[in-house]
Amino acid sequence: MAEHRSALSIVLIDDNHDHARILQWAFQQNGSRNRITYFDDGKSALDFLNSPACDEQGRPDLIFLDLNLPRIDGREVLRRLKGEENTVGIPVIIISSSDREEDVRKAYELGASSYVSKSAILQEFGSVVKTFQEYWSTIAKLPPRK
Amino acid sequence: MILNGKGECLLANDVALVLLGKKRSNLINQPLSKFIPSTQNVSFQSIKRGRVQTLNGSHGQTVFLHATRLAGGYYLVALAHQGGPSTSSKLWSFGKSTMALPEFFPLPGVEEEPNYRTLFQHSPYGTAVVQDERLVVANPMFCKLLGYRASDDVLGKEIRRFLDEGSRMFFTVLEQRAFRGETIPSRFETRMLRENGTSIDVEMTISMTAHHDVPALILSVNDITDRKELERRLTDSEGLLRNVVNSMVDALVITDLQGKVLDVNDEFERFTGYSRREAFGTEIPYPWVPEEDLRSYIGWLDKLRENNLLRDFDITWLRKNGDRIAVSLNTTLLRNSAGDPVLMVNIARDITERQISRTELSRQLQRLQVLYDLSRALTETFDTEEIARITYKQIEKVIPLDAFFIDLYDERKNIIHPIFTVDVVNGERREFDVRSSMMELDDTMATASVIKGRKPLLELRPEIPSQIRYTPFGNETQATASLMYVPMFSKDRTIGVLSAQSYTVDQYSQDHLTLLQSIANVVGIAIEKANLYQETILKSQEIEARNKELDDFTYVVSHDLKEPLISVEGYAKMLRHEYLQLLDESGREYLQSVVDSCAHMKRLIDELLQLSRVTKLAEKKVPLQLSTVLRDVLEELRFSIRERKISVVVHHPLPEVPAVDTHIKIVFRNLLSNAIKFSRTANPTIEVGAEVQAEGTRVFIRDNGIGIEPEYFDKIFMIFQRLHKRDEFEGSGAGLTIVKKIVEAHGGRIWVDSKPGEGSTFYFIIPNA
Repeated sequence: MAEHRSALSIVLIDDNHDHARILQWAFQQNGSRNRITYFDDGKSALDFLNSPACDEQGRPDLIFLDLNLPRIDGREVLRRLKGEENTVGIPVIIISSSDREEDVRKAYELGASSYVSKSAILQEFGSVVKTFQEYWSTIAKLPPRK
Repeated sequence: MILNGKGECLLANDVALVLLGKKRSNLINQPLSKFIPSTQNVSFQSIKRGRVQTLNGSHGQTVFLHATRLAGGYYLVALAHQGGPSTSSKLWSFGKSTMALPEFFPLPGVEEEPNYRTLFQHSPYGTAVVQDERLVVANPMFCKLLGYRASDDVLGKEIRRFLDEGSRMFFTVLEQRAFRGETIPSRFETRMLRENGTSIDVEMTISMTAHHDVPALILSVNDITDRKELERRLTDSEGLLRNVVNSMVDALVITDLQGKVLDVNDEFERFTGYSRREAFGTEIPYPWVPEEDLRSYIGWLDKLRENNLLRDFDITWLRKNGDRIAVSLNTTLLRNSAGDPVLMVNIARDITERQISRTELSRQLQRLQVLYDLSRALTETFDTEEIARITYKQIEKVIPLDAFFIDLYDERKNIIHPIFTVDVVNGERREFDVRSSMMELDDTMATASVIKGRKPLLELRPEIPSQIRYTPFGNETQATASLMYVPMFSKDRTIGVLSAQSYTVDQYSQDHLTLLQSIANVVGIAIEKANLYQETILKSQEIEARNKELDDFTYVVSHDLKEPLISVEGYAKMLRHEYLQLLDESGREYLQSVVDSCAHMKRLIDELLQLSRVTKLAEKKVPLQLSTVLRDVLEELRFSIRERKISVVVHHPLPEVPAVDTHIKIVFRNLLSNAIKFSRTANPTIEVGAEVQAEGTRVFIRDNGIGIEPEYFDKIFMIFQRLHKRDEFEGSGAGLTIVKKIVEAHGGRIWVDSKPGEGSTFYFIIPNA
């Protein structure tokens, strides 16, 4: 049970390589079996999520998405994720360096499941990541895939 | 001639013989129709008067005939010479205004007819015949009247010597008229000279006759000295009264009870231009009472029935020449000895002068009103063009004008900016679009002398200078005849020129110029005020834009700063987790410093972000319970308060203020955090209270902490000003700046009062809504 709980398939989208690296490290701290697929722009992430390859390896359990992205902005990525049948069911957690109220509100309006400031993740990253993992793997059961 | 009922001539005088060209013997007992065929078978009664043709001479002669029926079926037929064959259609009136026939008739034939001689000799009238200016016949009465004993004393003498000097010319004129056959008064009064040199008043009748077939004048004279004397005496007392009436400075009109004019005085004639003769007999409506005043005038007269005397009725009279005059009327009712009203006396006083001063007063009042209206209207606008237009509309009310302009003067560039121009183009007054035009001030321009000389200018040309034509702003217009220019000042600078012009020659006086200058003074102030306002607006817009820019900049910078900081912090944490064993004691300390510095920098950045967001109040202000806000903030801070054993005293009740909830929370949080931070160990106390003042709600937060030196009272509100060493008191330095910004965003202000070592009190005011 514990094994299953910690084995999450995560997609991380963040153009800041340092942040991505630190976040990946933080997730691995709490379950080395988490599989993290990383994209540094929204376009390639969307392409992947709508590709047969993604279907083959199984859809991710969670998407961590930064708002400040090149080419396709994080908000647009979120809108598209929530507009596609393939991805509409995957919870999206916004990770942002901004804690501006309008950014948070906008994200929830677009269908984000959660919004966490990067500072908060780093401050208490252990507990935050743990909380996520527990919540999304045990409490919030995902709808069965078709 | 006297005819019997058959029309036969019974009597004929000499003139008749001359006119008909017959001797008396050929005429008597012959029918008149033998000599004047048109009278045949005609009843003389039906003829009465008219022109008839005689058979006298080869072509006949036109005479005037006048027939009067006498008692006993006789007819009196008078013939008169018309002065040769006449083609004139003018009828000769033979009536009462000309000769009196009964007196004219009996005299002829005096020498031939004994009956008439007797009559002549004993006539009560002085009778004489004048031929060639000399007396040829005179009866005893004539001699007696003039004081001569016998006719021999007067015969052969010139008639002139018997006439009063004043009557001679008159007599001569009448004589000439009589000989020409023209009409003369049948009877007139004149004066004659007596033998003893005295004069008598006589009533004289003159008529034409023939004496020995030569034309002559018959004078019939009646002594009227007694009557005259009586008349003179009567006139004297009447004259006295008339003199009094005429010397009155008021116009007088006497009417009967129906309003029919019986008399007026001299002043009335002078005053109204209507002569006594014209006024006499006039009935209501009088030509001198204007139609619109008639009703009230009649109403005025009606009141006389109840009052004997009515006073001071202001009415307008119309002079004969159409001028209007203001009149104050007093009317009285005159009664006869029995007490019955008989006459109305209207006394009218000319109050035009009084009216003029009243008019002058109202004119001055109107000017004051215009200046007042202008000042008031000008406070409502900051637009120079609008100022000019308002000015024009007001000036138009008090100064006649055809053209008007306001030019502004830029002293630095020596340039004139027209802001408003009205002129006549093709006979039509029109406003020009002058907004984009400007010109260099040329010393030959009239405006230049006004601007440089700083004095108003009045130019009166004898006529419209037709050779000068302007094409200002693309519209051809003609030069004016009367021109006024006045400078507009702001403090001691000339900021422009205002001009009013007219095509009417001599339209303006010094008075107009003074008025225009007064107006220009007001306008100058308004324009200066408008300019200042525009500058202020521009500046505040500039400041606002710059602030916005700064806020955006602060936001972007602090956000961007956050990104690498997150990396630094993250890597530091990674190091501590993965490589802690590889570091020695110093290395671990260094790593801890990196983590601490990151935390500090993050606070700085967060405060900067907060500061950048408190710009204009994006959120709406709501009525806010200060007690609730304070309770929430104290709850947040309860750990540090407890830790430092601070006693907090809140002076209830706290009022409600219009404010943004989250912002006021920041204010309390920052100020209370400061008070906690700078508290001392012994009996630390914080007091919070508020009171409503005129300016708004004043809140104070007082501590008994370390206090602030007065020189820093202002500095502490400036960003990143730190008064203390870092290790002494922790803090970013932006907290009070944020507080200040929030208070000011609410329209309030904040300040501090403090004594070092005793404590500080922060005050801030939030204005009422």
